[in-house]
Amino acid sequence: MSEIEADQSKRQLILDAVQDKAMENQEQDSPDKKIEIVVFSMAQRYFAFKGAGIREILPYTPITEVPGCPRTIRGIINVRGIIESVVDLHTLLEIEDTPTSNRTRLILAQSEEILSGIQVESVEDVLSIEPRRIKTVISTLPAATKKYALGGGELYKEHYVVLLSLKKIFTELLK
Amino acid sequence: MENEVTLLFFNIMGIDFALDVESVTAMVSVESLANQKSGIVWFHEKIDFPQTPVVYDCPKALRIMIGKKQFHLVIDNPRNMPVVISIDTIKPFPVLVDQFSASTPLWAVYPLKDRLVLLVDPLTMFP
Repeated sequence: MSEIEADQSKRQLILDAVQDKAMENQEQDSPDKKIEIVVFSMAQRYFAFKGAGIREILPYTPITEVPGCPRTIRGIINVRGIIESVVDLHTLLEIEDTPTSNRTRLILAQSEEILSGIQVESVEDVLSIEPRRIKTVISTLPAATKKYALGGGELYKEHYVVLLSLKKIFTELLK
Repeated sequence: MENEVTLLFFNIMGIDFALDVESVTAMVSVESLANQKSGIVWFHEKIDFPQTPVVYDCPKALRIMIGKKQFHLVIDNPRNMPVVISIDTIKPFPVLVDQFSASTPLWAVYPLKDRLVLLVDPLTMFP
């Protein structure tokens, strides 16, 4: 490698690191500015995504399985002519699956370049909260949940809600 | 037409598939291949189905030919008539799925009414 090429490569590494840092910071919020969260439930536990990453909340629609995909990807759906994947959060979080019902929803979420549906048992509410109410996750959370958690707190009707990171979930699924 | 493709639809274990008939030279009964020792591929041998065992209700064998090479691909529940579709209606797999389907014979999706049909490249299924 020539000196010029080595220099370019080093610059690219620095730029990549700066970009990564900027993306990490995007997930941190100003303590005074309220943020929206979408609260949902699964297996009688409460979770949330930041509203900024949520494009739509869709009613359940039959999912077409794609052979060859891992169990964490339930299949594909047609959203007004665009084919989107559906993530199986039960498998990812290692919690018990439940049959679909009239409360089942598909949350269409985006993080960076990845857009995907995420099947949840029920969407409970969309809340506007102060970021300081979100604390570090409790130590007793199952490891599979902690892995994707940004934080948690008593955010919905005195229930403990785990705020999940879309970025962490999609990054894991891209492996 | 250049911007059209003729698809043969079939269904295995409740999943809809279709393939381009360009390389299909015949559809024969599986029984007619009883004396054939090689050159037969059952569809599920090349595709990892989510449910096992894979059960065929009404299997048929497609004779697939590329150049002078041929094999028989056994599928299930084929529709009687192929259908001509515009290539503009074919959709790519989303990113999370594409990373896995790229190493399989599945290459795209065709939305058909309220169903999604997985398009298969039979040429990648040679025994």
